[in-house]
Amino acid sequence: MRKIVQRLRKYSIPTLLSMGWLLIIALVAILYPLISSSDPKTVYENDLGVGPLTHGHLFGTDTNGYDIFRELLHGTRLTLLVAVVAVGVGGSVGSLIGILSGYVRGKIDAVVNIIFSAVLSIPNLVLALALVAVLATAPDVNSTVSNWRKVFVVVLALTIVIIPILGRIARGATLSWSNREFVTAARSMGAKNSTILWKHIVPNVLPAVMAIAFLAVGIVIVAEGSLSLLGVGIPDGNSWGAILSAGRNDMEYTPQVVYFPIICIALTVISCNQIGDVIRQSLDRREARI
Amino acid sequence: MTRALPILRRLGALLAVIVLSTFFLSCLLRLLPTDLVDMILSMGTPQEKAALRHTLYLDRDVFTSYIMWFSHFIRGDMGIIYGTGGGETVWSHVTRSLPISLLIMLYTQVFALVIAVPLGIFTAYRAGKKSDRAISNTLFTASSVPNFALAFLLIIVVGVKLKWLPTLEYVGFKENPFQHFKHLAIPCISLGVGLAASYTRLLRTDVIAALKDDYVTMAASKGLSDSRILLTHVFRPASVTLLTAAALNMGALIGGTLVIETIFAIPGFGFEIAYALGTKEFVALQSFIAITAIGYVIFNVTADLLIGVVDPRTRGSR
Repeated sequence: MRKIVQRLRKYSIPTLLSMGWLLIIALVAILYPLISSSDPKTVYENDLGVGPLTHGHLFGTDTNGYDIFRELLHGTRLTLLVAVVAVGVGGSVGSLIGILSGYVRGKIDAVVNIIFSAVLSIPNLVLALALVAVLATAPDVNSTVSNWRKVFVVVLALTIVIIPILGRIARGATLSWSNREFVTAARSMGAKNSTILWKHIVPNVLPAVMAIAFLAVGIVIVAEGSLSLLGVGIPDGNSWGAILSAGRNDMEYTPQVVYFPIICIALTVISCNQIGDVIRQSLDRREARI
Repeated sequence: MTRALPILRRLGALLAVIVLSTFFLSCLLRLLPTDLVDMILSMGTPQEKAALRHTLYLDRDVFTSYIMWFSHFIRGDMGIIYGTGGGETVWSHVTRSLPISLLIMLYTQVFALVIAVPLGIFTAYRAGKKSDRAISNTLFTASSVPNFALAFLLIIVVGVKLKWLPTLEYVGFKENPFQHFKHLAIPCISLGVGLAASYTRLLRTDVIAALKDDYVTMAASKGLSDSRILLTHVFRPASVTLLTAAALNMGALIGGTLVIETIFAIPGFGFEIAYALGTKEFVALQSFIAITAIGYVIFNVTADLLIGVVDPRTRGSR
């Protein structure tokens, strides 16, 4: 316990607050079934659109009579799931492509680079929109798309958006690390390519990717909210963005239905950026020492 | 020739990226789980469908249809909006909505710079002092607040509670300049605050670095006035960073404009894209997104070339 306290001391207060917030929402997302037993869509008919802290509704209710606090707790799950899966899968695939192409160099690298540039030349929200639009179209004109498919499509689109962002970071880092003396030394000693990659390149490239991965979580959460606002995101108030987008027509009467989701989104994005920044700074310091 | 070569190479890369990204969009359209023709002409006769298939180049292979689409696209022939009965061309929607979005982005950039330049210089002068730390920390937070979050906050506080500014619709500059700026104030502020924050942070770092540089000490010892030093010796290298930052942030700004236009019901390009999405106008959507991508790429390359003009040192190495 004491050791943990000591280790935490070296971080600034904003960083600690960011860690705390991310920890809380992660716990809420994981433990949600234990925390909340009732359906988030319970309608409180006698409390339509009441303000925060009335009749036991911590954040108030919306005009449908849904308890906003409960909806937010419930929405945390899908919001974080989308962000973690998109950044996790997209980051892994992107890093793999980026590291390999940066290590191999030559023609393959040139092709990968130009493909990354082409995908990055479409602003990330616009790309996500295009992907969602195409993938979420029902195969038949008269049928509708199931909610699970909508969620899957949002995750897939955001994953594809993340791949070139993190892939390019991994590629750049690999290019610069594979030129270092210790890599040349390892090669001259007859180390295999796979050994060099695993022992020398990956451990150095991954921290740089991690720093940007936190920023990427922020990007994904904002993009998910934006997709919801544009009407093609996660449906039925099942994520923070979806709650926001469902509530925005009533914001004149029940501003709490807009306030609380945007506070959750903003806090999460700020926290991710803060932690990404701290990782980047510690990397820069290490870099300066080497 | 030595100066033209990197520019030519850059233009070659630019063309390659444009072709690749538009081709990518073309392929994406082919991935539609449903038949585009059936979607547009659900009640049409087989002959009508075959004719439409022909006009959309869907009866060719991917490459030929892409080349045909692109050769028409660059001439402004982007097909029609099918939902309106086929009366309106995609191009007419582009010419109507794109200027509005460009104006919004221009105002946002101006707003961001007007805030960022004095603030960046001020915080650099007071680097490490309390006022600098307070401003810098606030700015870091401000740069991570999503623009739609800020937009909703401003709508509720400034629009609904205080009733200072309108929060919906758009008024053209020619119709009423005063109302024009009044209607665009909240959208541009909510887009610009994050941008201003990231500009200020970069400018601060740059000015601090420049103030430590030998040539600034030299200029000061020559007896040049502070304002002269600031403008010619400090600001010129700093403007390189600003240009780079502007280029980097452009993608986010385009995405942000899209959302903000939808929130404020401004009939700009983002609104058109959202509308095309909602009504499944894929033919129009392909052109809209292609235009966005091309604009973004051209902006980036222009910024790159301008950096070469402002800072000659970068010409060879980049």
